[in-house]
Amino acid sequence: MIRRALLAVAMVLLSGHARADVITDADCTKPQHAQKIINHCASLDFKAADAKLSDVYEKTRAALQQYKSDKTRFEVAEQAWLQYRGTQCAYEAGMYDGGSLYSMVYTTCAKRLTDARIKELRSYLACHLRVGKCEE
Amino acid sequence: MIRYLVLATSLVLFAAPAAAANVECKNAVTQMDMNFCADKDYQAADKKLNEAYRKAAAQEDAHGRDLLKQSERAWMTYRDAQCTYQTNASEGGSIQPMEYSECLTEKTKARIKELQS
Repeated sequence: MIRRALLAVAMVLLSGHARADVITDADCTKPQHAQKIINHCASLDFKAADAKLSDVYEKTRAALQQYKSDKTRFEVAEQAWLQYRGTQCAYEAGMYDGGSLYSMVYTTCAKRLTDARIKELRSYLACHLRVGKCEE
Repeated sequence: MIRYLVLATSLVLFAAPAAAANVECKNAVTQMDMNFCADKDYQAADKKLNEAYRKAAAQEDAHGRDLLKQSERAWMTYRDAQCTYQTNASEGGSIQPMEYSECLTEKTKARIKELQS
């Protein structure tokens, strides 16, 4: 629940940068040259990673269902991580503030951090909560 | 009598870190020594992080430094919250300080890389 609310906020913040124009027919599997389309494709990449993260997040919460204090700590950690992702990507994109590259740099950063977070959560889920295969 | 007891207790409390100071971390055997050594590793990593942070900040203008500072603060909150969560299982046990320090070291090393890239 908390994560959904935070996610909604994050999406609004992100979309402020990403939603320059609605693009529906861009082929993101091919190299693109127009900045608008590159931004759009980067934002699709991020959204896909974020959907995966939501999935791991919900699986972890489900695995912690019977441990109330652990679940709370997990939610606190997720909230802190979301803050970190937002501020780190704002820092990385900072030099492009106001420019057409900002959205791409921001969402590329957000995707990278989200991928790392998925790994972090999956590893704990598998190796400590015994959900999935532990590859430590 | 009570005074002797208090004295005895404080001697035990003092003895722990004093003994740990002579630990050879390559051959640490007891949990207390391993906790001490894991913390030492973390302190070393944290020192490196401070250097990486200073270097990154030196390359930024005032706006960039401000954004970096905000990100560093948020990262530290995340680091602590994540390691608290990850070491939940051993909370209250003698192994917990070691696991917590190891977690901090791992996150710190990743953060150093991030700031250097």
